[in-house]
Amino acid sequence: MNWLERYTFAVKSHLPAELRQDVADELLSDLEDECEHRAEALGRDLTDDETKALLKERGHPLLVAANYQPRPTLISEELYPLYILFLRWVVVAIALVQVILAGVSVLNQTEPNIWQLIPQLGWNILHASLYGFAWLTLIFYLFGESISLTDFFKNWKPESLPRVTVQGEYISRTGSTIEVMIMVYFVAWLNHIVPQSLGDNPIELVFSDQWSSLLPWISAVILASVVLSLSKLLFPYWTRCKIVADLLLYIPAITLLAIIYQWENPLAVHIGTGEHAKQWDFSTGVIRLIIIGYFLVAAVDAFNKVKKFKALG
Amino acid sequence: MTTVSERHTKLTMELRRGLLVMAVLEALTAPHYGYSLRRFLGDMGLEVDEGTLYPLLRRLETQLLLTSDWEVQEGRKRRVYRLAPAGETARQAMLDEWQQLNRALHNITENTP
Repeated sequence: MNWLERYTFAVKSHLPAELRQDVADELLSDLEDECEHRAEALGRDLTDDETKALLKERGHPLLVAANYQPRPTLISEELYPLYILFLRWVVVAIALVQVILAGVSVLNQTEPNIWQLIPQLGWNILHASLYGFAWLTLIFYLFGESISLTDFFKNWKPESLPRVTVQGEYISRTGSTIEVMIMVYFVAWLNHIVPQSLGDNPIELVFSDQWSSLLPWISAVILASVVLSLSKLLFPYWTRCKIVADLLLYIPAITLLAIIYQWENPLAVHIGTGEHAKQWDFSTGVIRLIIIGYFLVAAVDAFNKVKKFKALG
Repeated sequence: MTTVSERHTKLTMELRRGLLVMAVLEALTAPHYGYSLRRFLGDMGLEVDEGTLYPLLRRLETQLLLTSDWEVQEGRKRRVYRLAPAGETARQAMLDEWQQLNRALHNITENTP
C-alpha cells in the first residue's frame, strides 16, 4: 500500500460514513494528479521522502477531514451576548448559594473542620456550576434552534423605538438577568420541579397548608414577571407600556401578600437531617414586617415609575 | 493578543472567502475536476489550498449551484464539476454586485484625501 493510499485511508477514518468513499476517491485522485505534476517537473518519479513531504503540506488527516464537516454552534451568534450574561450570573448565583449552604453547615456542626470545608466548597461550586452551564447551554441551544431572532424581529416598526430619555435611563440587563434567574428558580422550587432540599445538609422552607390554595396564583404572577423581565432583557429601555405592565403586576402581588399577611405562622425553615435536624418558625410578626417592607419598597418604586411615565409623555 | 500581521491575515482571509466563491463559479463556466480547477485558479493568480477548495465545491453542490459527475479522464477517475442553472444565476448576480462594489470602492478612494 503506498503513501497516498495510507493517507486517504486515514482521512476516511475521520469522515462520516456517507461522505467517506466519495471524499477519499476525490482526494486520492487529486494527490495522484499532484504527484504526476511534480514528477513531470522533476523529470522522474517522486521519492518516498518527497511524497511524504507532499502529504505533510496537505496537513494531518484529521484536519483535512474536519474541513468537510459542518461546524454547527451550540449557541447562535445572535444569542451569544445574552448567553454569556446569563452564564456569568448563573455561576455567581450558584457560588453564592453554595457559600450560604456551607455557612449553614458550619453553624450546624459542633466542631467544624474548615480545612475540609474549603476544598469541599470549591468542589461543590465547580460541580454545581458545571450542571448550571450544561442546563443553560441546552436551554439556549433549544431556544436558538426554535427561534431565529432575525425572523423574530423582522416585522419591527420604527414607531416602537423608545423615546430618548436622560442618559443612564436604560434598564440594567444585569438586574433583569438576576430577576429572571431568581424567579425561574423560585417558581420551579415552589412547584417541586427542582428539589426543595439542597445539598447534604438540606435547608428547606416549610410552608403551612394555606399556601397550596395560593400556589397557582403565586406561580402565575411570578411567570408574568419572568415574561416582563425577559422583555426588559431584549428591549432594555423604559417605555410607557413597560411601566404600566410593571405597575399592574404590583396589584396581584400586593393582593397575594395582603392575604398572606393575615395568616398565622405561615413559614418555617428546616435545617439538617435526622437527629441533628432543627426547625425555626418565622414568627407572624417577622413575616408581617417583611411584607410591610415589600409594600414600602413597592410604593417607592411605583412612585418613581409614575414619574418616569410622565417624563416619557 | 492578536498581532498586526495576524489581524492582517484574518482580514485578508475574510476578503478572499467571499471572492473565492465568485472565482469558482466564474471558472466553472467551463467544466473542471478539482485538481484542474485548482491549477487553473493558480495560473490565473488565485492560489487556493485543497483544504479550502474541495469542501467549498461540496458546499456549492449542496446548495445546488454546481453539479458533479465521476468521469474517466486520461485513464483516471475524476469528479468533474459543472455550473448548474442556479449557479449561473448566482454567478451573474455576484458579478454584478462585485462590479458595483468595485465602482463604489473606486469612488471612495478617489474622493478621500
